[in-house]
Amino acid sequence: MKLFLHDIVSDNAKRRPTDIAIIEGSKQIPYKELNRKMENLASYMVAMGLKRGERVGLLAKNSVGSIAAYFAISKAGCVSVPLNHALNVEEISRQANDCAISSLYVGAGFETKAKGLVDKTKFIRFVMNEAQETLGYRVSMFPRSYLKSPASIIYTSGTTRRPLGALLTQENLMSNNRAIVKYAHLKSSDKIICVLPIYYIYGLSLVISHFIVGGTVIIETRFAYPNVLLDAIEKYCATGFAGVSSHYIMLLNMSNLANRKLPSLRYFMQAGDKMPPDVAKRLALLFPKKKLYLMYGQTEASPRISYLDPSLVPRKAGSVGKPIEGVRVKIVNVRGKECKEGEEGEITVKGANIMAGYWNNPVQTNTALKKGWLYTGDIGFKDPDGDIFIVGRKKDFIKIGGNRISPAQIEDMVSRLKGIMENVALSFKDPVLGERLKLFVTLVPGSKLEREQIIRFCKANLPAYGVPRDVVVLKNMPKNSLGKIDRESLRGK
Amino acid sequence: MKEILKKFIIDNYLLGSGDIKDDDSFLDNGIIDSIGVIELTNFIQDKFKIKITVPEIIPENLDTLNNLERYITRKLKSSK
Repeated sequence: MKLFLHDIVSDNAKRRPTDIAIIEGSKQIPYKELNRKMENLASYMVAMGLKRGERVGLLAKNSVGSIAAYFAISKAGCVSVPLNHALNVEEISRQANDCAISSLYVGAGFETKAKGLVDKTKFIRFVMNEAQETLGYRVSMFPRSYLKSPASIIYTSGTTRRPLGALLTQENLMSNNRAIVKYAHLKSSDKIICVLPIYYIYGLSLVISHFIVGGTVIIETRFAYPNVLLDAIEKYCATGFAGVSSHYIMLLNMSNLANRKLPSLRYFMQAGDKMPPDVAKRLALLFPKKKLYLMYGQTEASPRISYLDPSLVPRKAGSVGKPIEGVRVKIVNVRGKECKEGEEGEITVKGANIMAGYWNNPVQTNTALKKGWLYTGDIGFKDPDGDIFIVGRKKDFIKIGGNRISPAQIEDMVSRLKGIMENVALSFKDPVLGERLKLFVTLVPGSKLEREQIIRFCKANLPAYGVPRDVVVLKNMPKNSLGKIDRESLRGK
Repeated sequence: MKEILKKFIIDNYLLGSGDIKDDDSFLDNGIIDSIGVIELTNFIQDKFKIKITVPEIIPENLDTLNNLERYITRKLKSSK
């Protein structure tokens, strides 16, 4: 039984030593070799005096080395802190200081950033890199792990506030990834193309879930050219691709996806943001025989909470389906009472996947966790079949002239207009109305759509209070390092 | 032409500092991401008055200063 993260790698090294664990460019690394790298680095950490529970930062792109390091940190009994390398040194050092990182694994190309980080932090005792994964260090004993042992701290996106690190235990990550394996029917022959970084819990879950079954992770960093990604799927006979909505919008509008058959590909996965229903339907229509998993999760839930059965996508795109195995979802009103069918309320979640809390932050922990239930801050409802629909973030709701509307409702509608690539609705303070709606759009290449046509479409399809007063056509939608739209940076435009 | 492209890359992605060699890959050196590629294609279309089609958005055309120059020269010739 694979109880802990590092057991996954060592177990595969015994059962299928020559099967390929990771493909990175021309490198194909079998489980046996990955296990050796993991053991070498874990031994080095123990030999260097790291104690159980110490935090180890990971500052690296997805690579064989950084993935081996992630599992080595677990084997050494320490807590991994995958750092968002797209942030600047100042922002990363806030996270590193918040959880008192005592050593750091540095991937190729991050040496200068690492030096800056060591200078700015108080606790880093030593730095490691890929070299320590090839040295033959051996220690006789590794610290024992327990189900409740802290395994990873994942900082949630957002750089303005004090960093908020979700503390996930071995049990959180293992139980959630086992449930992912089950609903996605993953098996050892599966090969996932991974474009998402492992400091993002969605990217991390792809690695863990595919390793649980002894599958292969294909590291791909060239998504900027969507056709190159499609070539990689064909070249490596990938069986799965996972992305956020923007990845799919780019694939549908900036690649020749429609002309490809991708015979090896069995499933598409989407999470991290809401997939506009029309985008999901277009994809499902293009590839009716492939499974499209529309999923919902949060870092605090390790991350998966629910998924929509792929057979329901043509009929129910827009829903995030039912809770995964071992997870309960209750929609509650402001008094904490469970909502009736169709009634909107806050989505709360309970299960073995819910984080232990936010690192060193009891105030935020007590706001998010109440009697074992995670209060997600997402507003949604369940339909008569029990499928969950998310209507928006609690804090994003806009009040206009006494009416409440979620930006997501407006964005879903606008995304149906032909020629729209991506869109964001934001509200701004207005001296008369209280709030005023502004819509930011990008157009698909070659579209001649004009502002007036967009406003006319909104007037025909949205309630009067939901019609944006201003429409701004942007050349590019600003994105954060995870590829999600950076809504706040639009406020200055 | 190469100088115009180089200036655009340095001003927009290297924040005005640093240098880039003619054969440096923008992607491999972490200079450009997916949004960067969209910005770059918009810039080229506006500046050189050419139309970039979807199948042309590949590293062989766009990922180094040399590739860009070759690609744009070819496009300009074929549009005459």
